Amino acid sequence: MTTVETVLVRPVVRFREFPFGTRGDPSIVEFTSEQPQVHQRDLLRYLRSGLITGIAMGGSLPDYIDRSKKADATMEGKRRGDVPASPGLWGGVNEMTDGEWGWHVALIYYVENYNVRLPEEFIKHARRHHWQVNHDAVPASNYVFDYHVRVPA
Amino acid sequence: MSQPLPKLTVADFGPGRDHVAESYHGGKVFAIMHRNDRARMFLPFVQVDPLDPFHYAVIHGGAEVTQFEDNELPQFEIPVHVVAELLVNEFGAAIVSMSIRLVTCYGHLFRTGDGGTLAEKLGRKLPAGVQLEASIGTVSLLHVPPYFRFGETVVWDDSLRLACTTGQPGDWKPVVP
Repeated sequence: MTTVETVLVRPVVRFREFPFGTRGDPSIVEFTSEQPQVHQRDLLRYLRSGLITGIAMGGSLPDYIDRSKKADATMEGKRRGDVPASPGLWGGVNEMTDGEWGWHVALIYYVENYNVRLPEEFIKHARRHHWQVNHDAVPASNYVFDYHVRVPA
Repeated sequence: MSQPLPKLTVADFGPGRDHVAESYHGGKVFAIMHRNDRARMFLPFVQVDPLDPFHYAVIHGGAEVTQFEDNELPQFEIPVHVVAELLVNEFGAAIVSMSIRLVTCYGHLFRTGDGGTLAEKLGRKLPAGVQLEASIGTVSLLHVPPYFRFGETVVWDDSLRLACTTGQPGDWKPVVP
């Protein structure tokens, strides 16, 4: 087995309905808005430019607010290494990272369709990186997204 | 709730068809999916110990419904009996002494009103003797490191009609059909 560093990423959002919130987390509905947030287009660009870490074996996610739809998103589909990039529609369960923060593909869908508000700290972080994840600056690590996980020492 | 998906048959799988049932890594990994599924690009890189006593069946599972699906963005349901038949076709009579892990999101998640988990339903269709294990939460084909990774432990929430996180990532769970 390849040995790589394990990195616990910071979840951009934690919603009870979102992959994969706990019952104690707030509802995503509380974070929706009629109007786009400041820098929304830039934020979407940043989220879409993240690194996809793998393929979930059940990646398509329902839109919790409108269950007739799916919370999947079109994106660049870049990944590190030998696996070729695959642009297009991606399942909402799939995980993305910039090496520090982590989010699921579905977050792109919810921001784009429901103007879901993102935390100011993350917005500042994305702005500092000029709204684009630099894949070359993201180490090839094992990025862990879980709320409860214990990262091995 | 999404509309029910049309169902595939065993005849829909094979060379020249839109769906594949194919093995990797000397037969340790067996994938059942659409030929254009992105997971197929990951499978050659997955590292499986040749001494690992388990075989791994890689099939998409539904997030909303207890069913096997053909793709990351599914267009078809793969009925449980079809999965069972494809496994038997692949492994032959030897399957009765095999231990198989289902690399399937929500493979062992119980949804209220269902007659068992997906893995339990599959176990009932397989010959006696097959030892099945599955995950309650998500399972991903990770690129770094190239292996199967569990999402956190979940339970089905009837009010949300979604899986909700309850704890740390689980492990393979034995399946009793």
